[in-house]
Amino acid sequence: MDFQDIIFKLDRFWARQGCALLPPGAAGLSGAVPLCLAGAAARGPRPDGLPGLYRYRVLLRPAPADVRRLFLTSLKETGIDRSEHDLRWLSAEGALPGWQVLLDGLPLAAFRYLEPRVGPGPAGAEIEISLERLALASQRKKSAADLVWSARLTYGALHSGEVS
Amino acid sequence: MTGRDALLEIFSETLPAAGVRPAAEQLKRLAGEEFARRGLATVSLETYGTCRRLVLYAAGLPCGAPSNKALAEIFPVLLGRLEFARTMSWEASGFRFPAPVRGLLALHGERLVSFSAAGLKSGRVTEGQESLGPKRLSLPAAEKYFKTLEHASVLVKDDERLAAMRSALDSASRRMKLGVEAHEETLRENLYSAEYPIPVVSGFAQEFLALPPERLRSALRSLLFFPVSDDDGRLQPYFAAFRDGVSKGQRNVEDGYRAALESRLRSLLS
Repeated sequence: MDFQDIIFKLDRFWARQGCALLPPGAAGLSGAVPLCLAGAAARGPRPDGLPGLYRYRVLLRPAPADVRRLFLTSLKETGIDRSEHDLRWLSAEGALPGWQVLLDGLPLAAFRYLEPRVGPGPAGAEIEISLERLALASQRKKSAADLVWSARLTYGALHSGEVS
Repeated sequence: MTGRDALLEIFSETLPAAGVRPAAEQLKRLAGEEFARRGLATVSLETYGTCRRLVLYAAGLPCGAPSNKALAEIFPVLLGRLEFARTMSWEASGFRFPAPVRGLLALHGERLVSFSAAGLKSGRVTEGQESLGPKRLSLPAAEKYFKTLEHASVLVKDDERLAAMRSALDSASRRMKLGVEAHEETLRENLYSAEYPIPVVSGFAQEFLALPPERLRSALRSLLFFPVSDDDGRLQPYFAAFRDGVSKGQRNVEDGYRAALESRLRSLLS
């Protein structure tokens, strides 16, 4: 599955869950209403422990009880067969509630719950996936440069060697 | 009068590995107190823990409504009394736990022990090994619990899981004609990271053997991997590890673990 097909698949999956697909950098969003946002974006300036330049971000507020399963199902849509890989949920140190999700021992995603600021109430969830790691597993490639981005272009050709 | 077994399973999202054993011990102590307070006699009372569940198993409780009623009072009290270093809240009641609780299984023999806590109603349903995909398991009776879970690739009992891991490392040693160093602390950490530990053996590039052996060992252990050495204790470019659940796609896992390790080792060499 091409790199951009992976993004399409994730977009379609989260759109089916009722999420709004927003272009990167969307601002001025209301803080109070129930939200489900999803979309691919470039890595932010803060280090997030994930490899690669691109992220797929999902924000669900409130988080449905099956949010973890939704995340796992979204991976399946991108060609990852759960039973062929090891997924490990490593509790994030210091920053509970959250996990770093390792795919075959390598960082794939950050999964965090966002507790309501005041009083008891349903928590939100924030998921950040390294698109490169996902594509490497989906395309069974060793190096990001070899990833097929679209029918005609590789990741390496698009980024002229600037690959982390 | 023959007694029946009582079961409480708190099924949650992944718990921090270091916290599971203390939580299971705490649950045992609290359950002992609450059972005694209500004069509820049991033949035995055990608790178990995995990365996804805390389990209380009380064998041989007298049958009948009084026991059932007492259990329905005790179970939510236990949930409320458990204490953890770090907790979160995720639903409207404000219940706190280290990770969201997604199921409460509570049975006495065939009877449901009915109560509510953490925004959930207790039931007779739980889930098996996550890597096999979503699988709901409905329990006809408490006594069927361990077998049902084992068939769904979950070894609930800590000591059974530990024995399975030790024996897997022993067979790996025999196959390789080398020694897998079954470091106690690494075993413990793995014990609370997988519900059905499957051994993985992989290797790393020879060049990393130039690292001081203790640094190499600690790098391996920091990833929960087990060093492999020869009869004279010299490290070899291999390691053993555990994944959770199934043994399909071993190659993906071996390659991934190797890449994770080599990236860690490369930073030590430079």
